[in-house]
Amino acid sequence: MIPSGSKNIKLVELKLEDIREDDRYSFSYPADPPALLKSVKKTGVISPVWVTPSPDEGLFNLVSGFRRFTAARKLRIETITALLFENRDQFEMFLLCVEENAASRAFNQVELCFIVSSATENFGKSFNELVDVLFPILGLSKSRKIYNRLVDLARFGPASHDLIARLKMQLGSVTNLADLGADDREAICLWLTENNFGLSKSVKLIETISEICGIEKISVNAVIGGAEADTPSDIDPPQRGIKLFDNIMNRRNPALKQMQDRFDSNVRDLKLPAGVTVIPPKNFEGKNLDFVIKAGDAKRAVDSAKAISGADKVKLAKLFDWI
Amino acid sequence: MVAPCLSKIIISSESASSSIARKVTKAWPDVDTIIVDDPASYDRKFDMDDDPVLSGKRTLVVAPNKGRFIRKCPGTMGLVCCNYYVIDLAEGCSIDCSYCILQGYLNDRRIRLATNIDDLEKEIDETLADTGRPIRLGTGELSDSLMFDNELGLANILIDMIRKRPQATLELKTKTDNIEKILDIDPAPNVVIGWSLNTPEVIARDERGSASLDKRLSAAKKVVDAGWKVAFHFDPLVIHPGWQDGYRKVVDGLFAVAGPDKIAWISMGALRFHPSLKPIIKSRFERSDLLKSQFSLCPDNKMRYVKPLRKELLAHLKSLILSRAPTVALYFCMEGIEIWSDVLGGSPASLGMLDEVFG
Repeated sequence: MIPSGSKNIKLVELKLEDIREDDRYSFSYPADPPALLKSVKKTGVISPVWVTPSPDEGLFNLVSGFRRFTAARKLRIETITALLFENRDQFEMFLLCVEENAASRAFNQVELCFIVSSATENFGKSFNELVDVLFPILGLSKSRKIYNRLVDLARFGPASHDLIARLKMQLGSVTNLADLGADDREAICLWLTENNFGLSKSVKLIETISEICGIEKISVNAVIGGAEADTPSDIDPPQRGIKLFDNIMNRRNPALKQMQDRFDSNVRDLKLPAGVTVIPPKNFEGKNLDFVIKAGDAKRAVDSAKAISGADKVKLAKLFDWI
Repeated sequence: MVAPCLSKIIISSESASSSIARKVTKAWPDVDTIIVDDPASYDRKFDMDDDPVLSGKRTLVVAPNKGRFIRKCPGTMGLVCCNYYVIDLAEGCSIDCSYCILQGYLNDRRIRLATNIDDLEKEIDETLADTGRPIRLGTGELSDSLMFDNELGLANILIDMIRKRPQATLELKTKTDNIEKILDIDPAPNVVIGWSLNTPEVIARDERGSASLDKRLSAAKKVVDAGWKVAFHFDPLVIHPGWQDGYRKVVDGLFAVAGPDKIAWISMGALRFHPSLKPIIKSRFERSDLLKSQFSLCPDNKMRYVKPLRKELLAHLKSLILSRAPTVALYFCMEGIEIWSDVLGGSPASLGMLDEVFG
C-alpha cells in the first residue's frame, strides 16, 4: 500500500511517449490479457500507473501497471495518470510494487517465478535475503526447494509458461516439467494446449509422458506421435482427447492394458444383452465384479438378470481369470 | 561397518545426565553438540537447506520419549496383518532409502533417540499382560535397529530386557553390519537378528549409507555362528533390470550363511509407496530404477506393481526360497488375502503360521 502523507509521491498526468517500461519491474503474466483491453476501451485507465524518474531528463520509468499501460498504448490514448515515486531505493520500490499487486490479486506460478528471478538477477539478492523480505509478501514458505523450483520455472519457454498460467498449475505439478529437456518441455506443453486438456489430465499426462520417455529413452515427440498415430483424427475433439489420454496411459502400463483387453474380450464372448455392463475393480485390485443392469422397466431388468444367470458358466468363469 | 554421518547433536537438558546422552557425547566427541531446554523448538524441517531430508538425517536429537514406546504395527485395512508390535526407541534413520516413507514426514526430519529406556521395560510387561499371549516386537519400523549400535550398544540393553521375558520375541531389523556389540553377549533364544536384503544394484542406488549385500550376509553369518537366530526380509522387492537372476543370487547368498534351522522367518513385500513419495524419489534418487515399472493405485492409497507383475515377483521369490527351505516360515508383508492365496496357497491361518509368526 502507498504510505499516506508521503511527500515524495505525486499524482501526475504524463504523456505515454514520455514513459519507458522498466522490465525489471514487469512480472504480470499473461502480459496482455484481452479482457483488460476491453475494459480500458470502455472506461479508460482508472487506477494510476506507477513511475519513477528516469535518468534521462523529462522521461519516466514505468514500474507498475504494465498491462494498463500496454492497453492504453494499443488504444492510442495519449496521456495517463501516474503516481510518481521519487528518491526511492530501487529494490524497495520493487518490493512495494510486488506488495501492491499481491494485495489485489493472487499471483500465478509464472508471475511468482518472474518476481523471484528479477529480484535475484536484476537486484542481486541472494536466497537468504529473499526469503526474509520477499517470500512473506508472496505468501511462500521459507524453503530453498520452492526457491529452486521458481528459479527453474523462470527458464521455461513461452509454451510452458502459457500452459502453467492458463491452467493455474501449482508449483508441485511443475516439477515433472522441470525434469524434461527444454525442447521436450515446450513440445508437451504446446501439445497439451492444442488438445485443450484440463488441469488434472495435463498434470497426469506430463508425469506419464516423462516417465515413458525415461523408461523407453525416447523423446516427448515420439510418445506424442505414437499416441496421435493410434488415435483416429476424424472424431470429435473431446472424444479424441479421451482416446489420446487413454493411449498414453496404456503405453505406460501395458500389463494393465493387456488385462483390460482380455477382460473386455471375455465379456464380449458372453454375449450379454444391451444394457448389461460388467465392471472389474479399479486396476483389477480386488476380487469382485459389478454386473450393472440398466433397464427402463421391470421386465427388461428381469430379462437381463436371467441372461446373466443363464450365461455359459465356463465363459462366465473366464471373467475372473485375472484373480 | 556402517558409520552414521552426524553433523549436529541436540540434547534435551532433562536428559543431559542420562546414560544414553553420555554414550552419545562419548561416541561422537567431535560433532557439534548443544544442550537445550526444548529441542522441539529448534529447526526440525531444514527447509532452507538444499536437501532437507539429508540434513535431518545428520541431526540427532536426544530427549525423553513423552509418549508410549510400544504400539501395534498399524498394518493396513484389508491386508493380512502379521501382529507385530513396534518399539519406537528411535525415530528417523541415518540410512537414506529412496522408498522410505520417512522422507515424506514433514513434521520432524531429525533422528530422535529416546533416553528414558527404563520406561520401556514397564511397557513391555504391560503389553504382555494386556495381550495374554506371546508377542513379536521390533525396533526397525521407524529407524534401523542397529544404526548406532557399534557406537551406543543399545541393542544389548533391549536384548537383556527381552531375555527375561520368554513370552516376547524381539526382532532387531537392520541394513547394517553393526553387530560388534551383539557378538559380545550370549545369544538369547527369543531374540532374532533380522536383515533386510536386496540385490547389490538396488542397495547401491536406493539404500544410501547402508551396508553392502556381502557385508550384511557376512554379519549374518557371524551371528549365526555365534548361536543367534536370524530372519531375512525381502522388502521391498523391486523390479529392475535382471531382477530374476539378481534375487536368485541373493537367496543363494542367504542360504550360504544360514541354514533353514537357523532362520526364524523370512518375509517378502513388493515395493509400495504413497503417491506423494514419487516426486521425492525422482528428485533425490536420480539413478534409481524404482519408478521405472508399471504401478497402479491400490485401495489403501499406495502405489503397487500392477497385479500380474506383483504376482510374478512374489512367486519367483517364493519358489527360490521354498526350493531351498520348504518348511521355513515365509510370509508376505502388506499384501491382501488374494495374493496370499494365489502365491502361497492359502491364508496365514490355513498355512499354520499363526503361532509361528503371526502371534
